[in-house]
Amino acid sequence: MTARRWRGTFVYLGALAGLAAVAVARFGGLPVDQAAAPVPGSTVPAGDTGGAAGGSGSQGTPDPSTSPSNPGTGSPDTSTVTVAGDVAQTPYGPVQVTVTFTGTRIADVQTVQAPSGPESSQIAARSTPILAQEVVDAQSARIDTVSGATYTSEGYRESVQSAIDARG
Amino acid sequence: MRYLETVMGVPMSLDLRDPDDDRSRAAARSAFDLLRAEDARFSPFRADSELRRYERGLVDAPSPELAEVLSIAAGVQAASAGAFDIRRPGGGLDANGVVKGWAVQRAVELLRAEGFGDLCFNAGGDVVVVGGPEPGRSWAVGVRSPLVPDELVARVEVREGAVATSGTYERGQHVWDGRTGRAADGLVAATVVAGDLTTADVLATSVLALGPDGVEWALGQGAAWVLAVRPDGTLVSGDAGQRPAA
Repeated sequence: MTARRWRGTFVYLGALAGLAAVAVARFGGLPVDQAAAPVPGSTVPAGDTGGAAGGSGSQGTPDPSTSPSNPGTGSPDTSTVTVAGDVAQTPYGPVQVTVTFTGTRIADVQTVQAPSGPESSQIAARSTPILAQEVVDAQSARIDTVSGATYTSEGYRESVQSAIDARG
Repeated sequence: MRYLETVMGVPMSLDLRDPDDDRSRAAARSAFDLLRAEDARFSPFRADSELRRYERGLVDAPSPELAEVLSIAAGVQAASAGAFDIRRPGGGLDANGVVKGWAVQRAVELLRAEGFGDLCFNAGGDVVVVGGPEPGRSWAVGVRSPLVPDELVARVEVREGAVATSGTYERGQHVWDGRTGRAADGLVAATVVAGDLTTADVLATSVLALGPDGVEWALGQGAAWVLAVRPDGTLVSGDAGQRPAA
């Protein structure tokens, strides 16, 4: 790996709201309290991981920058895009969120604006089925069920849902 | 307690948070019975199913259930400018795109009517939830990555509603674009969150047929949130809460 490529990796990390989120929903951490599995294909030294994750945090500056492809190894889905949603006027007040995508994963969602007041936010939360498309931290991810393209009985044996069902 | 059965060729998992007693078991049984009855009515594989007989012009008075499913299909077909179509390119009807979500939603209504307020029904990847898994917590539904089976692309928390996903990755390209009669290839997966599974299911299939433009379209058709995955793995998403107020 060249130095230039390494820098690319670092910038890419900085753009993320936290590298832990890259491990997003890896099912290494799903059913039980397992430690997060390392991300295959990640070329990032552990020390840098910590630094970057502690860095940009959830400042949420809408930054529609796209980093070039991951200089790392075979991981196919690592370009990062942060998209600021439009401000939506809801009956409960203005709502705006910023979503960071890493390839196929939602790496982070930051609420830029939300209706204030406990009462109104409760109503707003109830009014939409989505409370948050939140960061799925591998350690804290709690998944009760999994939605996916319809699987047959054969596919089911391979599916995460079968693991969840076996657990219960 | 989870109850597992395979109906409509699909593993279905019903998670009732009530105690596993006679009442719960009887309710779970009646929910699966309802699904089996609708499967018999709409099965494309049984020559004597009402759907097959209807296709051959042998049904004078469709049952209310058949009439309802045909009406839902016609509504989505019109709303999607023909992209969603239960008529197969080669003739015949394939009501699967409507029936599963509709029937599971009915089974859930049955359970609710019997007083079950905290449940999660997963029908082969299409999900309806009511209440929560425990006090103070909503159901957390993971959305599977189309590219990597054991990864999620999103996690959504839903208190009451449905999450449906249509994709090409489990059963191949079984969704075609009714406008062209060709396999839909603009997306590999589409997930829709809506108030009920009938809506979520038909919208997810429609988005897959329509391609990336279907995301915004679905938000105007009752979707609360949509996530679509392109073949290269990039995402398109839309949130009804972020649309300018009408």
